[in-house]
Amino acid sequence: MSEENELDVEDDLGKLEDIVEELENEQLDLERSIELFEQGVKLAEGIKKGLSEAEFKLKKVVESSDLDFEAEDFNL
Amino acid sequence: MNQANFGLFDSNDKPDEDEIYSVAQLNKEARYLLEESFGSIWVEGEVSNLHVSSAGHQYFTLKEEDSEIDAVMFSGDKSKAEVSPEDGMALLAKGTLTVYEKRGRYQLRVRDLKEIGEGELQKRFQKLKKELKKEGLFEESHKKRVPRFPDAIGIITSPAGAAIRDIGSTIAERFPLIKGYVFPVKVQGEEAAGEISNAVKKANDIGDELGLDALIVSRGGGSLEDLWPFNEETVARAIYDSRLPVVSGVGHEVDFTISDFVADRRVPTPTAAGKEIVPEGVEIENRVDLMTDKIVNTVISSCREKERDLGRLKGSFGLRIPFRKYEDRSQEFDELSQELVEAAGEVFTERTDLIESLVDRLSLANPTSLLKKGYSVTYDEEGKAVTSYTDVEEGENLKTRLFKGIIRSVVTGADENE
Repeated sequence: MSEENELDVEDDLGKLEDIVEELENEQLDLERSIELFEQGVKLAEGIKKGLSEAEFKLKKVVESSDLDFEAEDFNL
Repeated sequence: MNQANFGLFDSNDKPDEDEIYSVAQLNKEARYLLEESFGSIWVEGEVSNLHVSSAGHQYFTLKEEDSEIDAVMFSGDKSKAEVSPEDGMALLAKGTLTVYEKRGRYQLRVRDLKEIGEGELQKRFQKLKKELKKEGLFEESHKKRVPRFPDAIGIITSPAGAAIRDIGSTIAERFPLIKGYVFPVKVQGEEAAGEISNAVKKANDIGDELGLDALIVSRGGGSLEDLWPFNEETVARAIYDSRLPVVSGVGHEVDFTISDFVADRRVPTPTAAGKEIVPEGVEIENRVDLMTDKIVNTVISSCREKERDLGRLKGSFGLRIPFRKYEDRSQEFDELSQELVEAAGEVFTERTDLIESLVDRLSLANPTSLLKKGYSVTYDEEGKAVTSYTDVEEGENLKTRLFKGIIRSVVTGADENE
């Protein structure tokens, strides 16, 4: 099974929130600020790109035996 | 007309013109016949498939086990009736038998209704609901939270029904990052309840393997009979026992089923189930934009702060930066800040490159970086920055601030030139 949708939005949103919080609440030197800035923008870009490029994948679960199953592509 | 019959009809078979009915004529006569011969009658049956037109006319089916008849109650007669029909209600309907000529459908035009007790299905529904409630199957405390960001979900419904299309298109539109697995089942008829409950169990069994975070059990609208599998005890128990949270979206807004009560979350329709189970991509994008704005604004204001620091440094510390150079830099700083503001409004492409050059350029202007390059500030005993050889006397203790740490020293001599 290929894993194209590797983006973990929940995780990335959490990281983004942490970055905003660190930037807003702490006295940071400029280099750290820029570092966080860069990280934040990359994350934001990743999330938005992931959302816009993702394609909903639907599969149908077919029982091949009592214990086993297969998932085949299912088109709406 | 008979030129084109290719001899299929013997010309002797051709009926006389006056023996041929037009469709409208036939319907009209059938209607007349039905209305005249039956007159006003009472019919007993159970209400099913009730729907109300925008004009307020009520259309429903009166049925018993193996037989049914269409019925209509026009809005004008509705107010006179003793009861208002509901699905599953057992009724005595008074009316005339007639034909709806436009469709050639025969139906009962109802003018009065009397309730004679609940229908069989309705009774079973109420009984099971009461029992399961007593047993605690609907308890709020048992209900599991449906995750906000599921990775994959199982959808238990008919692969051929409207429900899977509604759910699928809703998810595809809102949050396509998710994976969906359809567990194909029958959603009406005798085998449906068994198939649905087995699918719920199966989905739990292989849930880990597929990475499932939640399940949807669903089907589109239909009569009470059509929705019945979702009122079966076996389905209710399978949902209750499900380790994965279950969202139940069965029928239309008005339909409540036992599975709705047991499920961790009840939604009115299949489309709503799709909405319930995934967040909306647009909302996430908005949140991301908001956070990006915050990040950019914070960095800009901290740049401005550094700019002020730089100004102070120039004024009080008298670092040996040629004044001209400082002015250039100050202007550069304004431009950089402006760039940052503009960057915030732009799309994200090329942003990384921009930031990298910003990092380089901004760090040049950072006072800390100046110290890093070997510049230092020297303070006298009162803590004032020393800017001239005349500020110090021989034997005075000085403190020099370096990029890293300080040096204490004693003045052994001070001259204008080296």
